[in-house]
Amino acid sequence: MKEAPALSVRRITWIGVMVSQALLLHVVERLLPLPQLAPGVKLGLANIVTLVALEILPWGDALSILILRSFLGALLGGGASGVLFSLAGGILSFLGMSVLMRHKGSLFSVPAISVAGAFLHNVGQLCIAALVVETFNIIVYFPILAISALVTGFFTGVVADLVIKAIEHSRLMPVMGTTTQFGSLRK
Amino acid sequence: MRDSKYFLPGDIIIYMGLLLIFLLGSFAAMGRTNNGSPTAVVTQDGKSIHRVRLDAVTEPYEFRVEGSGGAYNIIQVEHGRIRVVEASCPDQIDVKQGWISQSHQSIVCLPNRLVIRILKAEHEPVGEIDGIAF
Repeated sequence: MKEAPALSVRRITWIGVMVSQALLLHVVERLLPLPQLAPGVKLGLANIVTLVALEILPWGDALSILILRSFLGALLGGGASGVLFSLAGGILSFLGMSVLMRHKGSLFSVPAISVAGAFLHNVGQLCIAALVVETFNIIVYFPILAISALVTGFFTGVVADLVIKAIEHSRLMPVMGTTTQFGSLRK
Repeated sequence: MRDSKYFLPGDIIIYMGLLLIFLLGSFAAMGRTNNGSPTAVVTQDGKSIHRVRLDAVTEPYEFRVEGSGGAYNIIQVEHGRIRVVEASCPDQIDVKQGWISQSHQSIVCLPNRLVIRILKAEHEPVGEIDGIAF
């Protein structure tokens, strides 16, 4: 079937482009004047990139993109402490989405995976926050985060889906998804 | 609802799950609201640094909390409510939250490790679990 090419210029280019796209979305998102409903409530536009990467790039590349943009994103604004929270939520979200992606098409659609990912991202951040400030009370934010994940996750998921379909349609890149790492479990 | 491409079986599970969390969580949070003598507790790094009965406040006052590396928060206390009016953190989430007065509300400033909570009862210990709803 489709195999992951060796570390080619093409792969490096894709990772580079994705990381810069994610950083761009991250910066733009911070510029938008949106109401702060609770700590951690974001549009999560950068997740669009994570989703697309999970679908069309080898799993390891997608993970690299996530880690790279977490570190670089902290440099662009958000502070060094932001890296810890961003990674905590990001990795949990990434793992969850990776698992769900294997059943994409039959059980899950991209927007739903995005919603799950958004929620897991918030859960991860909230847990780290609870540890940092040693307050269990922080758990009252869960319901707001659940709804916010539902709404923003769906939106970013739809966009990601459209991007994936556009890439597939333009045949820019063979859509590899997670089959390269976990064997051909999909379809 | 017709089977559209965005509502596959697994999707429904995820959406329902989150809705459930939202509903259950909301009820759990509301059950903690009632307040006879609201006491606000300001903690930094988990240690209580300021405690005040909000309904006993006659004159509004404010005080400054210092953190490591020049970090600070300025907290304002009035009769029945409390807020962070100024802070050194980049996100300003705590400042944007505004006034809180109910026991289900709290203000958190993660970079400065600051938490302002309103207790249900005056002698509630700080930092311990006071109840689990479900």
